[in-house]
Amino acid sequence: MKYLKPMNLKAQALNRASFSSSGDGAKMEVVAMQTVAGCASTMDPGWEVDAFGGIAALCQPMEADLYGCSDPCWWPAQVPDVMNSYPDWDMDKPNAGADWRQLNNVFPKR
Amino acid sequence: MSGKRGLFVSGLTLFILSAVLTSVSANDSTGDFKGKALVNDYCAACHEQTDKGGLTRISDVRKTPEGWDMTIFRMEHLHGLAVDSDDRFAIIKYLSAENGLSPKESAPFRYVLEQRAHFVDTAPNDDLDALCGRCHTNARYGLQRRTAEDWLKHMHFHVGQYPSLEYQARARDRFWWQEVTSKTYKELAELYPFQNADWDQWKAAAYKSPVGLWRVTGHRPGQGGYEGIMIVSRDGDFYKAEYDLNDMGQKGKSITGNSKSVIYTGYEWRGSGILNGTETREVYALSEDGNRMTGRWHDAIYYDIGGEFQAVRMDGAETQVLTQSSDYLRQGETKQIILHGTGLTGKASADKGLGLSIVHQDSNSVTLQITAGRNIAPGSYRVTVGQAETAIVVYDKIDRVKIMPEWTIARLGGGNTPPVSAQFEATAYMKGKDGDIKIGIMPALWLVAPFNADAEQMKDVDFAGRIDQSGRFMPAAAGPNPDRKYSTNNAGNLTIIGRVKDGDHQVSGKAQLIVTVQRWNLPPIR
Ligand code: HEC
Ligand code: HEC
Repeated sequence: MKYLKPMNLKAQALNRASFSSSGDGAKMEVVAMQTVAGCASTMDPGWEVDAFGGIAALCQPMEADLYGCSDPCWWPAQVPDVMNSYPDWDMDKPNAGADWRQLNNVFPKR
Repeated sequence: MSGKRGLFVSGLTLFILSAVLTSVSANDSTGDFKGKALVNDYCAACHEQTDKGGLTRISDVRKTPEGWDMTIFRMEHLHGLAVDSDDRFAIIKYLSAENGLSPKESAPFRYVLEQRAHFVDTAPNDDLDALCGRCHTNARYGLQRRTAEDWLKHMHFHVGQYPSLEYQARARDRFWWQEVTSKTYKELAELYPFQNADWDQWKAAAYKSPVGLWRVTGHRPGQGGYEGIMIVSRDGDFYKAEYDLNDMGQKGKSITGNSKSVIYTGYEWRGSGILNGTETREVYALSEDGNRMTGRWHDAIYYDIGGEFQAVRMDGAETQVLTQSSDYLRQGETKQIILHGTGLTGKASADKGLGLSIVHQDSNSVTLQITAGRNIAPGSYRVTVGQAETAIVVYDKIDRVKIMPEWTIARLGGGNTPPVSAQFEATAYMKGKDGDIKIGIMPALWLVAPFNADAEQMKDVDFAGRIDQSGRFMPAAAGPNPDRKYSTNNAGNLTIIGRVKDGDHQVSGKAQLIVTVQRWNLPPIR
């Protein structure tokens, strides 16, 4: 976090814990290098796993903030980004908490 | 079975099965001609002809069949390309042949093609992990070859398509854009160059046919080994495989079925079929000499469930042991162990200390009655059948149990997303003079515990799912759970404990399992 500063305390705490090439995130890098194939390690917060290698700092429940993830394409490899790639993904499903069952996988099944 | 097949196949297999090509061999010219014409028809509207007779972008990249599939899907959903499934298959086949990867180039990344749910993916270095590997596997770019110029264009694509990527964790502490457009693209061009003598050679090579009789061995995690025979025959542009296999975990139980497959780039076997009534997908690589096939098959819906696969051509095969029903016995124990392989007609013998008698022998399998002397030293003992050699471990006690995978995830399933389970296995070790000696995979008693205080407080163990006594953890249902604090998901941070019995006591090992949320983006290369 050299060039942008988070405004709120939680983000700052996460930032200290999360990966940083400036050196203070050495411990976390161990977790980063252990990502199971296909998981994201974009840790603000994480998608599958949090910056502490657990799940306590993830959105709880995930659905509460799901569209906050897909709109700005925070994990575009896991959650379809609605900004550019899949604008209709959440169409007619305004409440992720209730409508999540109808959300589709974007890549056709082979 | 074949009459029914048309009903369930989809996608890649659909266009495999419904393709209307005339009979072509792997690097055959009529197929080339048709593929080339289709690429011109469909792609040249946006991708201009270059001086060298290629098409911009398309002629500067090389990738796997799955990589081409993903790119063409993007051409469809982002750029408005409309292509029917027969043509799509012909285009992928042509591009994989013209601009594919050699067996050596794809070798380090087969885990992704094989859909291994538990593989830990590592980057060539920390910078690439932060710049690229934080979003998707490092294999996604490791399985591509581009000119430096095209790697640079692909950096532009990323930031144009995902503009928020510069503000995300692990990107905002660096000048992402400046870095990838001045340094990283050159590094990628050096690591994964378009020009490569190995590819040139492979492209010009005469590809081998898989037709023939094969000796098959493999392992299904949690279920045990299997062995048997596969017969591959030609079926138009495709290959048909018939399987006649035995489940080594459950004596006398057979596994039968068949598959239909296509071979891309002269070695990339992709099949779809049925094994004991379950729809399967096959991702194998044919060896360069055409005498071996290795890879993994998996359930068509649950990619986490499947088996390791190895096949050896029987015609002209050397004498060898490929797998065995058990790798170990205890001091003083007598046990029947079956060796499976090819050409096993020779005389059986063992290192001093092991008593041996033959119960049954044919060229594919030898059943041995083995006795380990009560006073022989623990360690690895050689058993030979003619020229074939294998090892049996004699142990006195188990010193350590290792649970594999040591760290992994499972995903909650629900709605349109199937769950992803996690399969654990317990391997026993004993102390040796030069470090631990692996004894082998053993049955275990499986338990789940909270990984830390957070998990304990949130009662993750009660909500996240269950483990069965084959070591398979089945995650609970997805979605917010009103019975949990914050109505959170059934996610959990768990310790998986496997207890192996050793005489009158137990030795345990541990692994960590994160049960986490689903994903809605499931391309073949994660
Ligand atoms: C309607 C226009 C259009 C058509 C038709 C089209 N493309 Fe593209 N293609 C694009 C655009 C725009 C880009 C650059 C942005 C991107 O990468 O998505 C691109 C980029 C590419 C790239 C380079 C990017 C990469 O990730 O490798 C390849 C390869 C490619 N296209 C292949 C094809 C093939 C093969 C076809 C025909 C089957 C095709 N395209 C048809 C518009 C098109
Ligand atoms: C913000 C997350 C993110 C980051 C960071 C990222 N990618 Fe990607 N990448 C994606 C997504 C999403 C796709 C899928 C694009 C599509 O729909 O085909 C993708 C696709 C790809 C593809 C396959 C495209 C094709 O059609 O063949 C390659 C190769 C790739 N990325 C390489 C890289 C490299 C190299 C880097 C680092 C310099 C990188 N990516 C960084 C999200 C990311």
